[in-house]
Amino acid sequence: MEENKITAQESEEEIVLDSNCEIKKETNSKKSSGFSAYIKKNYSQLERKDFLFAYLLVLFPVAQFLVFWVYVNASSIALAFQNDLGGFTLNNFKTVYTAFVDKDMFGINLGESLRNSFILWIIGEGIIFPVGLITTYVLTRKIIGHYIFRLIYIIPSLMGAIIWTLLVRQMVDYSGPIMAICNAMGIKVSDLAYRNGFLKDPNTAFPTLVIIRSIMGIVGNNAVLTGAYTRVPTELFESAELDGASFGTELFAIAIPCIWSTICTLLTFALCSVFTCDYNVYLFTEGMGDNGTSTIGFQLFKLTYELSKGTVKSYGYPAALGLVLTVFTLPIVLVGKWALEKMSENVEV
Amino acid sequence: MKKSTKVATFLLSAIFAFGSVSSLAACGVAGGKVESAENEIVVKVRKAGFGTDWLYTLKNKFEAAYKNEGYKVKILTPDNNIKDDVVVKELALGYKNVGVDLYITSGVLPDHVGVNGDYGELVEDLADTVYSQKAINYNGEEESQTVTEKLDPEILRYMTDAEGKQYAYCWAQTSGGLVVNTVKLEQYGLEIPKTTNEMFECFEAIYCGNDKMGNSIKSGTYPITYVSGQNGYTLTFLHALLAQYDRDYFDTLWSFQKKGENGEVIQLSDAECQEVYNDQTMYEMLKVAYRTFDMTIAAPGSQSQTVDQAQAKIMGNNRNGAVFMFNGDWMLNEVKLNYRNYLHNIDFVNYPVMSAVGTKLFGAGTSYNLSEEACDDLLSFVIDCVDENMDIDAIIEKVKTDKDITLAEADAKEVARARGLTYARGPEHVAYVTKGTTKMDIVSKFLRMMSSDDYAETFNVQGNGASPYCALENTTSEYKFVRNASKVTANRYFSFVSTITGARGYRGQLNFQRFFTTSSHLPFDIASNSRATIYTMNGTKKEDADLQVYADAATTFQANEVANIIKNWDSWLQNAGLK
Repeated sequence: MEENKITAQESEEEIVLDSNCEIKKETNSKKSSGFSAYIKKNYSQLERKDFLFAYLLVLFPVAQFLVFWVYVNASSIALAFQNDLGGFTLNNFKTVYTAFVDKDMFGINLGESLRNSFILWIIGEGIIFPVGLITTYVLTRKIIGHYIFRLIYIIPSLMGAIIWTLLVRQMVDYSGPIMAICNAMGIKVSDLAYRNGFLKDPNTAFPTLVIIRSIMGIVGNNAVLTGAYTRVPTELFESAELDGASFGTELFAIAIPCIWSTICTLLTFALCSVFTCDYNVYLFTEGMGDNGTSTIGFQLFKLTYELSKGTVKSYGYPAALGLVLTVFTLPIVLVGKWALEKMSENVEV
Repeated sequence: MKKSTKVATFLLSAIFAFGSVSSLAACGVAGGKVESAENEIVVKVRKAGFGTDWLYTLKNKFEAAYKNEGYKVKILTPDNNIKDDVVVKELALGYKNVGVDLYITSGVLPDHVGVNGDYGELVEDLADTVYSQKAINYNGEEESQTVTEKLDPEILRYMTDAEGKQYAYCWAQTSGGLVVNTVKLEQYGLEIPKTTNEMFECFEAIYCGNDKMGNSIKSGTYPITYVSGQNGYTLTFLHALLAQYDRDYFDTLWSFQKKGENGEVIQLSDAECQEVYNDQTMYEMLKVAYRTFDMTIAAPGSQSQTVDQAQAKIMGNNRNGAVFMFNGDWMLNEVKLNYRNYLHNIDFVNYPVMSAVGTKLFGAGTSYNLSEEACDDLLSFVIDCVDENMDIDAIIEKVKTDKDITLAEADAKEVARARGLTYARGPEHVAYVTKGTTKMDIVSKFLRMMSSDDYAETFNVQGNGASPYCALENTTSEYKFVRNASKVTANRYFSFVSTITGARGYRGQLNFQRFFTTSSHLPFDIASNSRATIYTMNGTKKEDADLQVYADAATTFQANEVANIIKNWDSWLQNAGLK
């Protein structure tokens, strides 16, 4: 039977398992030195089995990572520089530039989508996220009915995104409860909204999207933030109360610093998603992004989807758009993460 | 490593492994390979609008006809998901791993499963085994014609891949058209429209009300409704309008090619391609489109509803319902479960013929020199004759007798062609034989029996559909919808267009897949963005109403489309690798 060889290259020594899994050490003529001196050479059979087990355990995730991340992204980058026949071209980037400053070949202006994405993101992270921080904190302080409120807050997280989106869409539809309330209260809505819902009037479509996004944003992080808040020792709050600390002091001087690492993580993820999050625009607008509701993430998806329907798969343009967005996002994420970490020291509790 | 840690990691890895294997298994066929006897074929069928009763009847007839040979047909549980990529991926697993001999499906193009597909040749070429063979009746006897001879050459084109191999078998013919709630329509004293102008008259009477009924705001009944988003039902109407007016233009539009004097195919020059939308046919269609999809007259909710919600507006008596909807001859099958008591209320007709066809043939500058109103009247009259399936001579004679107009044969034929034309989804309904099947002989006989006149009657009655090999008029159905829908495909002037294969020829090379470059879905964009209307939101006509608003909107759209193509022409060429 052949011997199985496991080579420790740094030490330039070979450790060999014979057919009975007994260890034999074969030292070559070269002298061990430097880093190799720190590597353990005499592994027991049990340790080797542990290594084998560990390697096998990570083998599948690594393979998945290589195929579904490395390959996919490398392929996307390559596509950005290819025409439909696979030849090299920079035309896709020219199209992206045109789309931002004017209109692309499909008559789409990405500038408007970019503006919408930024507005939604700024409102979401600049206003709604802090509101969510406060409301979640209030609920964790066991106010009257906090169990019910927490349950209500957590329901959207338990539902599928599509179900939640369809529910909300129905609420703002022409036959939905919000329209019924407006009618009952004598609130005049525009004819366009009255006929087809708030998402079908150019004047109300985007504000409706912002409101929907805000509601979803407040409840969205509730579960994570609740978990973080409940890990803050209650003794800290009791002590602060004895010292006469106000609600605001407890929140801003104790609670938030204690969960700062969680906040940093959430905000870093938010930074990454500024261009890719489409805020369910596709579902809200039946794939049209009409009446000024289009976002960059939506356009990226729609472009790819539509271009994939032809017999010739023409992914160059969306691939280039994705690459350009990544180039812009990367420094924002890195600088943002650095700034967030600088803003406050992490408090260990 | 501690023992507890090892146990935990083992469990974790076991879950990973199970998840991986399960997900991989999910890519395959549920339950693994289907086992079958030596003389038994396995059939997988999509359960869609036509149901599957007809298939079980065919199975029984087939097994009875080949009792001595002992041929059997095993039909796996019908499923609506047996279509598109699901079928392609299952075929890619191979016959040895799946064991299914025949897929009766839809939405799978021959180019996707043939030699040019992502997975190579996954299906059998049916040229010798089916198409060149004679159809077989329910007694197991051969008919006089081959399957090819029984099939419209236009359909066969869609069953053939780019290499000319006949991989697909068409198993149903369908027709798009106009669904009408005749009970609601009769309340206004109106008749089913045959031309677009008649349709607009109906729209106006329903929206603004007439001496019999109040306007839409009061009655709660609106002229039209449609499915929102990127739905194809409304687009099919526009495709049909283009082809009604000029079939050659329709083909040129989708291929950037034209026919030479001797019928040879000539590629348009780049300059001609850029101007292809700048055409009278396009202009006439756009005018109708802007007037049809005027949001003011559509039932509330039409911009944000599913097909079921739209159909509900046609079927029920609910407020905010509608009288007309562009749909297909399959609609009754889809609604019969939920609207059993309303099925007699609906009817189906082919798309109204664009009134501009009448103006083109009989209007100013022609030998008839009729006014626009008279053109539409004559057009409508001839359409009546066509719907009665009269031959050309009889039509000319009837026009002479009733209208005292001598209709030229070419003009009569042109109206008949326009009326007989529809947008068909037949080419989408395809069957494939799995590559490497060991039972090709039995499958072949099964498909040949499926091409018979006997089967056509079965499909007609049990599926409420039409066989592409023998279109029959259904005279026995209790529903007028079914009886009249069958008349469309059974009409002697029936022909169709389809965009299932997308852009062709030079246009395909350029990957110009969308109908328009400046609109991802014209009917939706009109309904959503256009404010061109002659009506108020209160159910009345504007005091200064002028149809020119629709013409202006059409002109502007057309100009923008052409300008966008010219501006980006180099980009199209570069992206396609042609420059």
